[in-house]
Amino acid sequence: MNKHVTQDHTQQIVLMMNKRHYKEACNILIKRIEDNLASKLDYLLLARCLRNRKQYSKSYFYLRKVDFADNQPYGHYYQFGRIAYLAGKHNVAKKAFEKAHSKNDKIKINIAYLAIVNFQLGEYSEAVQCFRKIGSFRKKYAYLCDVRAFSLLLDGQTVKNMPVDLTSPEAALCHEIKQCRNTQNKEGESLLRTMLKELPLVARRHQPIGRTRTSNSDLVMLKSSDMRFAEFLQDPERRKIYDTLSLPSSFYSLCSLFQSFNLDEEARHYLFLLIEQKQISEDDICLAGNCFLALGMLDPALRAFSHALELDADTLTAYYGISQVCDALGDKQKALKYIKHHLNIVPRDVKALSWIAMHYIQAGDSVLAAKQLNKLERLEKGSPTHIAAIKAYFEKFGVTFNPSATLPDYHYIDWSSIEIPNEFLFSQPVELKKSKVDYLENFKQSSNVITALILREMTGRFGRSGIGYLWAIIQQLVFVSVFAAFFEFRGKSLPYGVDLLGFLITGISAFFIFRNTTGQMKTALTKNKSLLHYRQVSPFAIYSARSILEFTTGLVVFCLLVCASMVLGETVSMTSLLQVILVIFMLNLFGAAYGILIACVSIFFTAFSSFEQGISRVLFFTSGLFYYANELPPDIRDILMWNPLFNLIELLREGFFSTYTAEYASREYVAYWTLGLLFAALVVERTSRRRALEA
Amino acid sequence: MIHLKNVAKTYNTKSGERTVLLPTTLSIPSHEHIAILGRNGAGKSTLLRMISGVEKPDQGVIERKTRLSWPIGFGGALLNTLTGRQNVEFTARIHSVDPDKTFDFVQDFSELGAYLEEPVKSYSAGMKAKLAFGLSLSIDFDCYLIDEAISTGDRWFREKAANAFDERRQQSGVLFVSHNPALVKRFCDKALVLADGHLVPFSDIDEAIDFYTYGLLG
Repeated sequence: MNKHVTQDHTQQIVLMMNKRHYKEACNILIKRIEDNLASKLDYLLLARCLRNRKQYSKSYFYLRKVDFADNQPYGHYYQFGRIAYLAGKHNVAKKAFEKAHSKNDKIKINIAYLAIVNFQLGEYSEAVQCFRKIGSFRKKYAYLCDVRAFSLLLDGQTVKNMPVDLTSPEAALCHEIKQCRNTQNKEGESLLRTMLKELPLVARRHQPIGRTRTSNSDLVMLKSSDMRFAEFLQDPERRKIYDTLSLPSSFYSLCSLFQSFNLDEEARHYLFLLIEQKQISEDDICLAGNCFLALGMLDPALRAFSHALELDADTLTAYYGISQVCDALGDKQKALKYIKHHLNIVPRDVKALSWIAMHYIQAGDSVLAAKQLNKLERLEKGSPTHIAAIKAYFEKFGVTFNPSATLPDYHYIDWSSIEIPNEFLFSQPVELKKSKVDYLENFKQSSNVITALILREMTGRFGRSGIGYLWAIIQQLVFVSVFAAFFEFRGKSLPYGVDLLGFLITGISAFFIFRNTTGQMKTALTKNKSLLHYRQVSPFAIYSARSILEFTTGLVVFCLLVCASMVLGETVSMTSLLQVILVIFMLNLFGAAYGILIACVSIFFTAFSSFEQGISRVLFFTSGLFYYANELPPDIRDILMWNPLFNLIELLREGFFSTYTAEYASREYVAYWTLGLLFAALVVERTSRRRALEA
Repeated sequence: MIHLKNVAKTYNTKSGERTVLLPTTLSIPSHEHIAILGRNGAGKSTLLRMISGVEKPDQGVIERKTRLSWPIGFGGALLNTLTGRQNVEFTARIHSVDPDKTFDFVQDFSELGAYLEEPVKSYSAGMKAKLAFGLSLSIDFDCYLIDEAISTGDRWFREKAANAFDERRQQSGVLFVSHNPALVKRFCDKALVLADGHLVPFSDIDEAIDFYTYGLLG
């Protein structure tokens, strides 16, 4: 046969194996062996296929035919060792693993196997040495930890980390051997050691490192050795020693063992021994409860669980037990209630989650069911064996285990019982003395913020080129010129020896200071909302900044207009500059208060802002922009003097023109108005702030 | 430490009242890296705004014993009408730091160059994030409040930001709001999960992620 063909056929086999068609591959390979065409590689491939089909003895049979001389690579010895181990040939396996070890002593899984094989052969000290070599590697596999603990015990050494799964008889035995050593019970210890040696060990229940062994011969072997153990204890002599040990956890495991062989009599015997214990803990009572439950004795089971809960309300398994009893009694709602409670104590209990998922599937609540399935998948992500077990559980009920993405499930969580980690526990902040408040620092901080806001407003509103400033002047200039032309056309001369331009400027400019401030306040928050992301910036600071800016702008524009009128030949003689500035400030303050009020009210009533436009028109004509109070007919004047803006403009003119006295305007009246409005505005701003920020 | 004493918050929406946070009493260590996990709309950002002091809770008191940043997010704190430079200067001023130095740092970090003289409204979302992130790094805080800002920008900037941020969090604490468990795991060691109005603290980030994605405790 030429080489080319051999390669071809090997490739074909490897391809089949990749596709997991082991049976077909086996058939081809066996045919080749029968035809005497097989090479060494064929035997290796065949052994592998058979191993994957879980026919370990057959696999070992073919593999033995291959000559394993000294010059083989590591992998061959390792594979041979594994198959020999699986086929139960521990001696051969040991040799193979040792050879593999001599080829490569770095690979820990090989040493782990060597340790297990040593343990199986009763070479406990060698096994212990092997475990020492692999160090913390064993922690990946609970199984390895268990076997290490057994080896140490049987080698007569002390064990720190005992196996945790107390429901397996072997682990229970471990604990008891330790206890016997502590109490110097030699007789008991030797009996237990014999038991541990002769027991159907965990080692045989699971395949080492991962997968389960399910071949039929294995099961038979397992069953027979379990049987042997049961018989072992049926011997009265041994039993007498054993029963004096009074070890609740092993009574429980024995009980469950007997029960698995339908030896209910024996099971009950140990169950009652368990219950009769004097210093029985709530956990042991729960174990007894589980046994009663398994034996179908529901009433005693319920009593046991309730008793455990009386001893300690947080007993881990008691709620689950009760729910199982309720389930058996057909009370699904009660069962659900208790299982939810159980899940609040043990949130990651796969058994309970599987039960609750099944319950929701049967109740037709697909959303809640999917949420539980997701949790199950998450919990057993790393372990294909456990996933398979869960799948089997669901298939038992005729349901396929098929998790799909869902939202997290918080529906049964008892929020009040969630523990808060120490670092998040509330600790009362240390109160600082009130006098430590640094007012100067606070003032500096606020003035920094307001300065920044003013600068931001200037650049934002007036633009980079300064056209905005120009517009502020032009706007008023246009108004003043239009009305000046109008008055000039009518040819009416003004009383009190006042020049026309000065008269119009004091009216129009004053009105615009009020008007512009109001407008600025109305949009202050909406335009600056993103600035409120800074804790330092408060709505009040924004209002203040805009108001200050508006005051300065108004003052500057007013001065410019007055200067312009002087250039045009008008004479200006003021009574009081202070009064002029003060009135302008009052106009600004009044406008600000009014604007804030409107802004806040229109958050709640959006139609209010168009209503406000109407008010603005009315104010334009009733605020004395184009007439004096002194020259109005008394009855009209009495009505118009109610308008605070009219009062302010009158006062401005009184300050501005040395020849004019505002006989009817009242400073107090204006002050009350401004203060009242400001108070109202700040109150409304405060109460509506939350709504303003949300909108 | 940030102390939350009996803090609660609800929102009024058209469909009725929505609870963001039920009365909660907690202390949040401000020198550690803590994530706030929650679904979209659970109220994470509101919580962060309350912690930062921008928004007031309905009841209860929040005490801040550290220098906290503003909630750094998708350029939320930037003013669209201002240029990049003006925004930087504004932020520097309200935090009482030198505007020019801050601007130099941001210019260097954000790589926006001449764009910094353009109004922010002409920026793309990525550019805004660059500016916002550079701005936040330019000022020293004890604790940074971050609202998923790190995930924006192009790949190179993202790496740069993550590195700069890694460096910064050696000295400073972080409160990192996100709905993305993978991102959270990269930056945080502890977490708070906001679910159904409950704020549940975890000292282990994996536990928190399990609780957030599956509702699994323990």
